[in-house]
Amino acid sequence: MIDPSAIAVPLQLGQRVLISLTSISGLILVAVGLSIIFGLMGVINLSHGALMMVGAYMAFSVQSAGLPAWLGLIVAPIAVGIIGILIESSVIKRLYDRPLDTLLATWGVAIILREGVNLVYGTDSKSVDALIGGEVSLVGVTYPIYWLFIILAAVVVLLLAIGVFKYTDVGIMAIAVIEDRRMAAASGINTVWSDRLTFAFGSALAGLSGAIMAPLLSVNSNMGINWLVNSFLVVIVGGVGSFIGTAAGGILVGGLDNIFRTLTDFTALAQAFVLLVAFIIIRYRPNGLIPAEQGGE
Amino acid sequence: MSTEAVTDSYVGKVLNNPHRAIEIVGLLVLILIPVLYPPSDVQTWAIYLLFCLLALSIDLVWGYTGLLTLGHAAYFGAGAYLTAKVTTEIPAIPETVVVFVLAPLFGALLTLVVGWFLFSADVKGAYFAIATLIISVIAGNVVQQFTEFLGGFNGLAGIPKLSIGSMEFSTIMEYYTALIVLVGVYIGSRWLTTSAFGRALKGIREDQLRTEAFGYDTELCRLLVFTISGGIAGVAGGMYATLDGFVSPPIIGFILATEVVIWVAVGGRGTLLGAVAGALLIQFLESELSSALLNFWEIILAAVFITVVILAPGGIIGAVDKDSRAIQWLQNRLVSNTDSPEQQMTETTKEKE
Repeated sequence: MIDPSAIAVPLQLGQRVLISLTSISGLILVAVGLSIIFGLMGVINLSHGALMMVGAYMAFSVQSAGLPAWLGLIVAPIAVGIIGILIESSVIKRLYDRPLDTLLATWGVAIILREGVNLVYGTDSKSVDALIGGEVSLVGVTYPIYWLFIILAAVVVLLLAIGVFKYTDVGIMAIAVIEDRRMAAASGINTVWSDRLTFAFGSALAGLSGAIMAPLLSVNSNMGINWLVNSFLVVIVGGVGSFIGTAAGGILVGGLDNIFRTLTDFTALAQAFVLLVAFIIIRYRPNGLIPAEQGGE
Repeated sequence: MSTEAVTDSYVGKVLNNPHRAIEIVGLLVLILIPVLYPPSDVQTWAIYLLFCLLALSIDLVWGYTGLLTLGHAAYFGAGAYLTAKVTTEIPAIPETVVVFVLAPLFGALLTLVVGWFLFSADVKGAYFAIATLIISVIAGNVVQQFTEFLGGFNGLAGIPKLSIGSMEFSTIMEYYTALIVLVGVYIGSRWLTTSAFGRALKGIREDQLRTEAFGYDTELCRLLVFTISGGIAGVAGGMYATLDGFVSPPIIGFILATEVVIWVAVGGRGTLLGAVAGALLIQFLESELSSALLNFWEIILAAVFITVVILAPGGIIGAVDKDSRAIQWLQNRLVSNTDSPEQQMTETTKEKE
């Protein structure tokens, strides 16, 4: 999450709202990839946070090599998408009918990614410069332009995911494969590659989100875990299988988190409150805020 | 000829019940550890045994009841932190009472609350695993952020050792205490899982709805086993605190919680023996190999774990089961002439436990 203490005090209401908007956008941005892999495909992917972390390291690599920063936003999704293809073809494809075992195996994958990164980059935290510097004055408060970029990126990525699965042939085929594998295969769809590409697309979005969020975070091999658990909360609370639900979940989880943070100095307590509220919601709305049937793909 | 028959019958006995053989040999080795190793290593082995207890508690919940818990280190850590606070702040309460009464009660109370919350909402399967993972992440953050009360990153130090009267436990006594508790919990768990209650747990694992249809109150069963396992984790944590004299965030967070799940999976879930064997074997290998392999140790272990999950969900202990292919093959090679073919037929067709 974005640390509000980094902002000059005192916090005005306008500033508080903008901070909340940015942290909600960050949550949605990271959760969209999981919304595809877990929400649509039903793969309980505990390596999502690690994939996001690898994306952040890709942005760091591009920058430390002296290349232009925007290249990171291209390299990260491609590299992590390729990792996604490797994960799907080596691990996930053997476990489609064993969901709990996928959960275990992807945790193993997350460990391999984490230790691999430690091996290559060392264990110390890295920092990444923002793609766009500077600040802008909005409703009387100064606000980093990059934070506006994050809000824009979240909207674009969300629309991209909805567009791909609603309007492109590949996306519609992927939905067909998920809904009825045998029927899709009988209609001549290559189900193996459809699964693989869907997983790779979700992974690529995780990598992209990592590269976009990297300038706001301390980049280290353990950064993924908080994003992993928050992404699962967002997807489950919002409604599994619905992108609009993911957006709603992001607003709820991110909004609550920001409200609780104004009440307590301990972020862990805020986290616990969010979890409590999330479970109360799931208890009374087991299919989430906006279930897939109503929200559509 | 006669000696051959004797060895044959021994081999036959071992192959007929390989798990019992592993239990006996393992217990003998553990009893002899203080003879084989210098005291500094004995303390390390005592800590191995405490993590075996944690592995056992996870196996009860995950292996037998099918509830994958990724947050059990939270209850282990809770027992450890409670022991650390109470023994240093309220010296009037004897350490033995704190470790063997308060710590397990605290662990059990926490699991009772968490379990009631999750089971009454019928959170199960993947959602249960994710919820427990979130809880362990939060638990880790809590101890890191409450720097005043729980020591933050630096942890809490100066925890007194167990003592009876004015006599403080030596390392060897601590080791045997840990071993006695482990053996006791192991036997207790074995009894529990073979009882009617244990059969209900397995029923929940295989098909919760059907078990409910048979009239079992599965919510109560799940809550009970979860609470018992929380108590086991709590006592293990309490003993850890007095043994090490120091508690810090790594013993409460998600990394330990998921690591122990990996030990149980590699050892063989749902067998109790697999949890203990996996925990001991992997901790022993880690201490021997991790200095030479560095980060590669974690990567190799994760790769082994993924392979076990995909190809051999029974783990190591499942691979040496009486009915497994490896043991059957050995049986046919080594003792085929002592057993009649009919006997072998009945052996192979016997139901797996």
